Amino acid sequence: MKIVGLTGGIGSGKTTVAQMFKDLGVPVYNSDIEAKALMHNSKVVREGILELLGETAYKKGKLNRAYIANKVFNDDKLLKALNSIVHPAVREHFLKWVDQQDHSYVIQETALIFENKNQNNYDAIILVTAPEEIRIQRVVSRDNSSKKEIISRIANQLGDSEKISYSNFVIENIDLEKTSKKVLEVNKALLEYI
Amino acid sequence: MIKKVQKHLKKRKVKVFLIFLVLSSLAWLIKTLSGEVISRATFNLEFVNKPDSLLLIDVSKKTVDVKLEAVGFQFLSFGIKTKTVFIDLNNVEKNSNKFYIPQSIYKKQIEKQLSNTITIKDIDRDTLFFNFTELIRKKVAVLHDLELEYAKNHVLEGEIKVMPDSIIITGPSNEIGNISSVNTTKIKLVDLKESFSKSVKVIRPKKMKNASFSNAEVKVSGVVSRFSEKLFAIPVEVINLSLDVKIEIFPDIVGVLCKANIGVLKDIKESDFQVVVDCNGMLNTNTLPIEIKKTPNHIYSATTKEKEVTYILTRQ
Repeated sequence: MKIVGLTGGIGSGKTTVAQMFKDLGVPVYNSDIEAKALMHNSKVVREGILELLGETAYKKGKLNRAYIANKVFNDDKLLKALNSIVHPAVREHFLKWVDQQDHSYVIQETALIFENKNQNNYDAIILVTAPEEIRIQRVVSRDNSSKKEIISRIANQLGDSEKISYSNFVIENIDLEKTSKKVLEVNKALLEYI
Repeated sequence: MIKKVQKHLKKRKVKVFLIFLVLSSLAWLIKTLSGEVISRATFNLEFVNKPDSLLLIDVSKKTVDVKLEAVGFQFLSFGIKTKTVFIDLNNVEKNSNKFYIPQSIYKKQIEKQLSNTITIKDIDRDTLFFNFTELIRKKVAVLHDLELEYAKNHVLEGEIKVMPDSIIITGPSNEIGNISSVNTTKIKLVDLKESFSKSVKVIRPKKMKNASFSNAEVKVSGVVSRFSEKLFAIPVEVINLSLDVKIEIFPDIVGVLCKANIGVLKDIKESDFQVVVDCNGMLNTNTLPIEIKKTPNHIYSATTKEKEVTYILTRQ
C-alpha cells in the first residue's frame, strides 16, 4: 500500500483537504489527533512524558497541555526530547493502522514532514498552501490566538517555496470549489501513477 | 434606419469624431501593449526523447497552466505561435516503480523554450508522473499471401522468396507475447509468364496498438519459367513379392509425363525414372497402385498416365 503525506503550514487547511480525500474513500490518519490520543492513552508515552516533564504534565489524569506548551515553547532541547518520545509512538501506531486499511493508498496528515526530514517515508507528498494573510485570519478565528502569536508560529515553520520543491502535488486552498476540483485531480493521479 | 445612419455618417462632425475615436483607441492599444503584461496560458505538453526500452502509456498531466509576464506585443505573437511545449523524457526519474519529473525540472525545460523576454511568474506545481510499460523485441516470420495463376506452360521454379523472411516487432509483452508470425496483404498475380518481384505491406494485427515493426513492407519474388512436356515409357518394377509367387501385371510399361525446362528435358533418359508397384500394399483386389520412386533432378513434375496395374498371381 502506498503512503501519501499531506502537509501544510498552520492555517493552510490541511484538515479541510484531508476531509475531501476522506469523502472520496481514502483512509486518512491525522497525526495530531492520534499523537494527543497516544499522550493520553499510551503507557509508554505517558511514562516518558512524566519522566521528562514531571508530575505536572498530567492534571487529574489528563494531559496538561498548557503546562507542556509553556515548558517546550522556548526550549528547543526539551521540545526535541518530547518529540523523541511522541513521534516514534505515532509512527508505530500509524504503521499498524496502515496494515488494517484496504485502499490503494492512505494519507497521513501531519504538519511537519519536511521540518522533521521525514519526506522519504512517503511515496508522494501533497502540500496544502494558502496566502499568509488568509492563514492568519483562519487561525485567529479558529484558535482565538493573537495575530502576533500566529506570525511567530509561521516563522518557525519552513516556508512554502521550500516545501513546494519537495512536494509532488500542491493544492492551493483558497476557494473550496477549486480545492475540491484539485483534490479530484490529485486523487486520480495518485490512483493511476503512484 | 440604415439610411438614417448613413446620412449621419456623411456629416463632417461625425466623421471627425470617428477619426479621433479610432486614433485614441489605437494610442491606448499601443500604450497598453508596449507595457509589461501578465497573462495566463495553458501549454500542451509533448514528450520527446522517449526511452527505447519503455513505452509511454499515460501521463498525469497533459497540460500545464502558467502565468507569464512579457511586453504586451509579445503576447500577440506568442498566443498564436506557441501552444505546445516539449518535455524531455531524458530527465525522467525513477523511484521504485514510479517514473516522474519534478516540477523544478520541467519548469526549467519550459523556460528554455520561451523567449528571453517572457518570464514565468507561476506554473503548475505538481510533479509529472508517467505510466511506462516495458517493451520487448521479438523476431517473427513473415508469411506471404499470394495467389498465383500461371500462363499456359509456365510454372514456378523453386519456392516463393520473402525478403526479409522475418521482421523484428517491438512492443509491450501483452501485445506481442503470443505472436509468432505476421502476414502480408493478399495479392493476386494472373497470367504469369515471367519472374516477379513485388513489395507487399505487412499486416499489423488489430490488437497491436503500441507495437512497432522493423519493416512495414517486404519483397516477395518468384522465378517463373516456361516448361515443356515429354512422355517417357517406363517399365513397372514389382517390389516386395514373395519368392514362392510369380506375378504378371498389366500394363507392365506405363507412360510418365514429365514437365521441365526444355534444356533440362532434352537430357532426361528413361533410366532416370523408377516406377514401382508394391506387393505389401496388396488388398483383396486385383489391382496395385503405381508409384514413381525416382525422378530426375530439376523437373517441375512427373505423373503417370495410368494410376494402377492389374495383376495375376501364380504359385511356383
